[in-house]
Amino acid sequence: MATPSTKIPQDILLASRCALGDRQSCGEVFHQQKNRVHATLYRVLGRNLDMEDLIQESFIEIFKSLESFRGEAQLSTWIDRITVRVAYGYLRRKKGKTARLEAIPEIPDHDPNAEQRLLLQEATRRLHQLLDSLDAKMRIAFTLHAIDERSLVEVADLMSATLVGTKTRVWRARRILAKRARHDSLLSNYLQDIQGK
Amino acid sequence: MMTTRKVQRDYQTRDTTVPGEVNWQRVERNLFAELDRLQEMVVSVPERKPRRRYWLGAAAVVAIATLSLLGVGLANRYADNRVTQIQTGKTGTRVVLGESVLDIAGESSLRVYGNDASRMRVLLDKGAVEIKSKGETARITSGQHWP
Repeated sequence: MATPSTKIPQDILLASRCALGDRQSCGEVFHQQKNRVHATLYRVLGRNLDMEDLIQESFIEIFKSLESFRGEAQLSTWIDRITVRVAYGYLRRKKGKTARLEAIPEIPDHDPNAEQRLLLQEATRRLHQLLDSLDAKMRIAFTLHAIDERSLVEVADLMSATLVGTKTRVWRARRILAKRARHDSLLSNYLQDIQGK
Repeated sequence: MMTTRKVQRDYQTRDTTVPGEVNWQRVERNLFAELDRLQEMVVSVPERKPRRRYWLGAAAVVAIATLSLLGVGLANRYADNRVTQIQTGKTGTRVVLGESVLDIAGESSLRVYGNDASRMRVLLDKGAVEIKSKGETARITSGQHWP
């Protein structure tokens, strides 16, 4: 595993080459970070049909911003920040609009954990349905902390917010979600599960 | 790295539908096509000629002229209000004020309002004064004023 001290200069090198328009370096950034970008977007936004567009938008923003990357943080942290910004922009844009939900793929019968996975998917779907009713910043803070398991300090950093403000957002989101999931055992169990971790 | 491990672990334990290889290829293809398009847009945008800001120059000239006029006006007003009292003893004297030369006789008293550049006015209270200005000569007697 590369230590941060050796990793950062490599990041800077890669970022600067990509910023200069080197297609191969941009491709390298894409392949290194695509799962990370997808995971962050998925945690915050859940399953939806705009996902591919959002990944694309995130990478365009990433490539545009790499020029100003100076290696103060790791490239992955830099990328997380931009991805969170894209997710926030998406939530703001779609506020009041109908969400483009993606059909849940059917799980093959021969899958031994089929039922469990189906329940998990259903719980996630219900959670994201509830999350749609939350304020965008509250939703992002909650999902990054409770679902993506990032520390509050990290979440505050990614959202360019204060630690106190982030804590408050997460706490308020938890309270609202718990209240609304009271009569939904699947969802309240799922919430307890992700909050207990 | 820890974060990568976490993402991988989450993929196994959480409901995350990882895009398939075909999806990733499509995303990558579309992404780089979009980057090309953006690049072309940047290239094809005609270079904007630096605008000649005539209006800015004109405005500056007008502002300078206005301030100058205002300054001159204020100076004149100030100058007009300025009074110089001249009194001579037994012998007369010559006083030069700008382009004007005042030959003041002895035992004279006069007041000069303003200065030569701003329509100087001389009021003779007592005695005599001869004022030469631009080749002209004026002589005024007590109680008179020049011009």
